[in-house]
Amino acid sequence: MSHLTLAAEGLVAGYERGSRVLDGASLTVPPGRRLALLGANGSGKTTLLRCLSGALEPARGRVTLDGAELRHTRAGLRAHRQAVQLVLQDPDDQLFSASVAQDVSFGPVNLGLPDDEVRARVAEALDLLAVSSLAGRPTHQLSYGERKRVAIAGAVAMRPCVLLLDEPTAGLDPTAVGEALSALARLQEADSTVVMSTHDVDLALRWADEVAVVVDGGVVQGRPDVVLGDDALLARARLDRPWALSVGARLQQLGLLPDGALPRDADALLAALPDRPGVRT
Amino acid sequence: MTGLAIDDAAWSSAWRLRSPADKLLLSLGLVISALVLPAWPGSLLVGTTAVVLALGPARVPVRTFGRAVRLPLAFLTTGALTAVVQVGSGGPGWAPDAAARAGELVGHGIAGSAAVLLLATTTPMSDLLPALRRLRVPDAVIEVASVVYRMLFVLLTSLSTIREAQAARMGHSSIRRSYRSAGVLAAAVLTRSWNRARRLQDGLAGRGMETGLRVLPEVLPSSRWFVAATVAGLTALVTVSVLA
Repeated sequence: MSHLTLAAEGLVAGYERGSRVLDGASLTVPPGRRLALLGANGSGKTTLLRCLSGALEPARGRVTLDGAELRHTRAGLRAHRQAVQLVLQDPDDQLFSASVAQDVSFGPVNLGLPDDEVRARVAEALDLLAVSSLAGRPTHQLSYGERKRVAIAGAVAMRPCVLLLDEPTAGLDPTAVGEALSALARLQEADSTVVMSTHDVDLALRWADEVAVVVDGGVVQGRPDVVLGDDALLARARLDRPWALSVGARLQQLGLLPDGALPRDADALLAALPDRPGVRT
Repeated sequence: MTGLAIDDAAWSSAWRLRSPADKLLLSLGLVISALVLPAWPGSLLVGTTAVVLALGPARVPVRTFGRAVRLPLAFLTTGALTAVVQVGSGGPGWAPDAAARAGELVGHGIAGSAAVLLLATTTPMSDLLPALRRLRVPDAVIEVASVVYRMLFVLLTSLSTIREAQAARMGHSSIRRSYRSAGVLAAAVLTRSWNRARRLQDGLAGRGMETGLRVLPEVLPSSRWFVAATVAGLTALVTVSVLA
């Protein structure tokens, strides 16, 4: 998979109770990186993802891939979908076949690949998502977390350059969240660009290379510690400040942490604390 | 497990990985034998063969097979009653050969049902559909069947969840309320199904669906000895039935 730059410019799309959900939203997905898309319910995260994937044609604005504008023609969408895949929040909106292996094979078959290549891609995708043992199982006997990972495998089997995930950790228990994040890490090691929408600011802080907050119809994008440290922005977006930033900032004030970038998760925070109180490292 | 015992049995059967075409040959052979051979001893032999194969080598749970055959048995018994009761000038009464007619009807029916259940309890739908495609069943029929089969379980879960929520709020505390709740449930499920169909279409379009729901079926190779044993067994069954 080669890295392509997916971008949205001035998107106007979606309507809710008479007002536009996205009103001039712009975003650049950094190639080969992890981008977390944050926002309150109804802010337009899913609408933005659908525009980026080509599932929704915006009223105004454009989506580009390496500078080339997405055309909502059959040929244009076909080419776009070979590079950009969207995994929906509800796996039952994506899993149409009762057989796991057959469902995952759907995308590669649509790419016109020979049977051997399809089988190889199915095996590879299931392995990446650590669900190879589920290949012979019916989808309706899987747990919610397992169905989510199989749905992601169905998109991964198409080897997209950019993988868009709509709240992949929603509804999962902590163990399943860990398994999903491990799978996303393996995807990124396999040279995919991963975009994940989430409400979880703590997850976004520790996982993402960049974050984008959808607020008031637009997008504010930047480094996680900068964007998620902007209290005024978080208030407008109805998001909480990540606990690691709040605790880290306080510890800095108390002289227990060195000045500079704040730790982004518990492990980093604990590692940055001095061995003895009052001693700054 | 999903609550559909036959489907669960099919996925966990010892014959799950046998070629669907082989199992279809066996089942079809038994069904035809059930219909064509005399009820005695033909239907008895066919029914016994189907049951023994299902509970034996195919390892279908006894309870599952027993529960599955209950409904056809009830249906056939009701049908047999209508065949053996006649209404004449003297009012309703038994037909002169009532026992024989009832026996034939029930015998043929049960034997055929057991043969079909042998296939149903050992072959998941998702294995059967590619086999039907090779038999030139139209793609549109197969695709609709495939999606309906998958979505059936999603629908059943929705039904169950909504009904539980209604019951928790006393929605089934009287007959009148139950009728009302059932109507609301049907409307809710219809709306959900419509929305889900639209979202599924979006999801499938995103994975490149243009003209159909083509997937790569699992490779389940045919077994020569199974086919040979099927042919030999059916031949023996027919021979014994005819000569008896």
